Amino acid sequence: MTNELVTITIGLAGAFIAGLLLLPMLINFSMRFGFTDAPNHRKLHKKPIPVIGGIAVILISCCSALLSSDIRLFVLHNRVIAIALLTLGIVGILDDKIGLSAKVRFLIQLASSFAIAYAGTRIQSLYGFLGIGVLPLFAQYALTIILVTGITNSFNLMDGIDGLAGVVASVNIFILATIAIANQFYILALVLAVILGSLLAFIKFNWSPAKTFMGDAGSLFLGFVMSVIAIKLINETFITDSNASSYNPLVTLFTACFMIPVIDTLRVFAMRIRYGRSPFIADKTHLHHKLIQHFMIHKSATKKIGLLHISIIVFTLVAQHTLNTSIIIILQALIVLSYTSILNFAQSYSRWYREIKRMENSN
Amino acid sequence: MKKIAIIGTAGIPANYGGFETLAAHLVNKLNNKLDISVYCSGKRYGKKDRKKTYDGARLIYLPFSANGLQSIVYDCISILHALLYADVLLVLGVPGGFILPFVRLFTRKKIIVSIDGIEWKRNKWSKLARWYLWAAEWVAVKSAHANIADNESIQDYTAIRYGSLSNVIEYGADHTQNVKPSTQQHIQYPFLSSGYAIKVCRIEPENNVQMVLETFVDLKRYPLVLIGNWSNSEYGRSLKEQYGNAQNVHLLNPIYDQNEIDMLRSNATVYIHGHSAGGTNPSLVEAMSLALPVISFDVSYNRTTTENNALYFKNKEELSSIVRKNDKKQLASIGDTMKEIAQRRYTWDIISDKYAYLIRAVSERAHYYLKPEIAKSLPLDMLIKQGISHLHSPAFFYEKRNSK
Repeated sequence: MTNELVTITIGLAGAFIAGLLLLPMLINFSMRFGFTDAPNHRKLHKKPIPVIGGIAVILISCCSALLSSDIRLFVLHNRVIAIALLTLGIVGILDDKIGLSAKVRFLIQLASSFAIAYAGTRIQSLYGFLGIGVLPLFAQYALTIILVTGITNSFNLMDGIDGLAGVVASVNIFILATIAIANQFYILALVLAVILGSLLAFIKFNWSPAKTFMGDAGSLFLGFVMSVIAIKLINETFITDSNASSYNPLVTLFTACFMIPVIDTLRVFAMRIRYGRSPFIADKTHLHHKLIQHFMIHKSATKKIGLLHISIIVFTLVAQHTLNTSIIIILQALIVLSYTSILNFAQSYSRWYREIKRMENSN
Repeated sequence: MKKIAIIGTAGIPANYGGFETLAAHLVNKLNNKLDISVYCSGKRYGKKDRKKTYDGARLIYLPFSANGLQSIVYDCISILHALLYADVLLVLGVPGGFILPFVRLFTRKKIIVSIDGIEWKRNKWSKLARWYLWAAEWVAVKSAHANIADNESIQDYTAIRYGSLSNVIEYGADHTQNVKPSTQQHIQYPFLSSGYAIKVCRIEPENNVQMVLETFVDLKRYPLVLIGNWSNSEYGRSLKEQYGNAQNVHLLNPIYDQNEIDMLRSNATVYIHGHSAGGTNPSLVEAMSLALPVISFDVSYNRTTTENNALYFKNKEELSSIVRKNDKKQLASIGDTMKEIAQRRYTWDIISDKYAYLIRAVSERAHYYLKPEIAKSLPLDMLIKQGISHLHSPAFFYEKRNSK
């Protein structure tokens, strides 16, 4: 086992160093190839920033396959996932460069999720959430497609402030890698370590003030990787062949990992629909936007969301011993929603405080 | 006779405090028309000081403090107890706000809430306390049948925030009277023989105590008498240490004898009012009633109270230049104007009449007439047709344009 851990650490470090070297080169190239994100009224940056973070992660991951025969074998075994990832990566790069229509991106995401579901990586059961166990085949397909597409997209929306997408993704991939090692899936852990290494290098360049963004390529790639690997790990661990509906502690852990982006996206969609707008038209109501409005600094907002993310995970680990799955998942959602509510409350208060001061001094 | 419960004050007989004095005078003027019960804090009145009735009002003692964190429990229990007998609840202050929706929902009692000064903005409270008061005020105003603001500027605020038309009822001041000092007092307070400025307030940063002290210490020639609770807080103690030694500055501890404090005030040359918060300050209207020329901190509440006729300062420099100007004729004229305003608006007869009218209105009108609200939107096409489309923006209703 130590051998494998050493390999994994080498993979992590190697990918990190490769990222440190590759990213500055890509940043210089990006200007020439037009891979920059121009600021507008809605976005939070002021100069055009290169969006090559995702490309770096994808490139390093592909190169790792060239270098290691183990990884090549792994890719061969999981052909469908690899091909889907590659497709999404290319679509993401195209979207960053020339901007594809949202419908096309959406269709390709649906197709990819369908493909991996068809190849066997499906959410097979709800493991006791709301008393539901194994799902009928149709529901398995439907739920997998919805969840994978949803998580991938919500993760895409997190790339709004410096450092956020990187931090959340790193925590999640670290957790996935740890679970993989604990279950002796060493090759999988190696792949995740490589991705994590390049991600950590990216964070260095994405931290405020950011020199690069992740871009759609990165968020599609990472969102897909995280959700699919999470599903795979749930399916391939704790299997008792007779009873796939039995309690699985990984379920709540993984819902904790994805709760913030998912709930935030659902809340924003609900608000937009409630106010009569189309849910797909962008505005500034995400949690990180509100944090920026309140605290004015990217670093602060990222740290707070990072802290919330880790708190939910810690809470889940502790509560797993005493509470059942449904309650934990509901509580996770409530934690995120109440965090947003309290933030809204504090913002309204501050606004009224400033308003009353203005009224007092204007006669 | 209608049964009224006065909730939220520390109790009567009043020592100091705007609400307590208000309760004492309301009871005094209205005890023949209404059956009044007043809730008092057991922490303020020890076992031997407690009476069953005072000035015709029934007193009910609760073992909680009326201020601070305990005020929440104090107000809530008072409200619940009052439901047993009262027809109208007069709730002074909003800590008990969250219980009012239930009162409104499950009983037919009428609720009048007085918002006090805008408590939630005062930095003396902690962040959590301010959040609580901000939310409680919203709940209280929405659940009450009528709300009272003690200043027109606060009426503007509630109009914008809640769309409700507050009833402006201030405080009375005619319990003060001009008193000439005796020979003994001349010896006790040597500054009485020359002119002096006087300021009476709680020693808190929001009353601009330090600014006034600094100005007068620099001015040297003009005596200042500042009466306040210096030893109650670290802030007060450090200020007293820092400025107490100046020749022209006399820092006195709180004086509870009405006659004595009236004497000190009526013989002053000017009254300095540094309050920056709290609506209509009782200390200000009392100074106006004593015909004192007022030099006041420039904030919307003070301008409204003095009807824009006093002298105003925003900082040390302005205060200093006003004091140095010392135009006797101007000061005398301002003093007369203040007296006139106080006699017209700030007498306990007028104030208690307003309260009595409001209580009657709240009891007698059907519930759907009770809370006057401001129209939230006027249809734009109608306004254009009438040629008054500028009224489409609420800002034109609420913001004052300086006409002077």
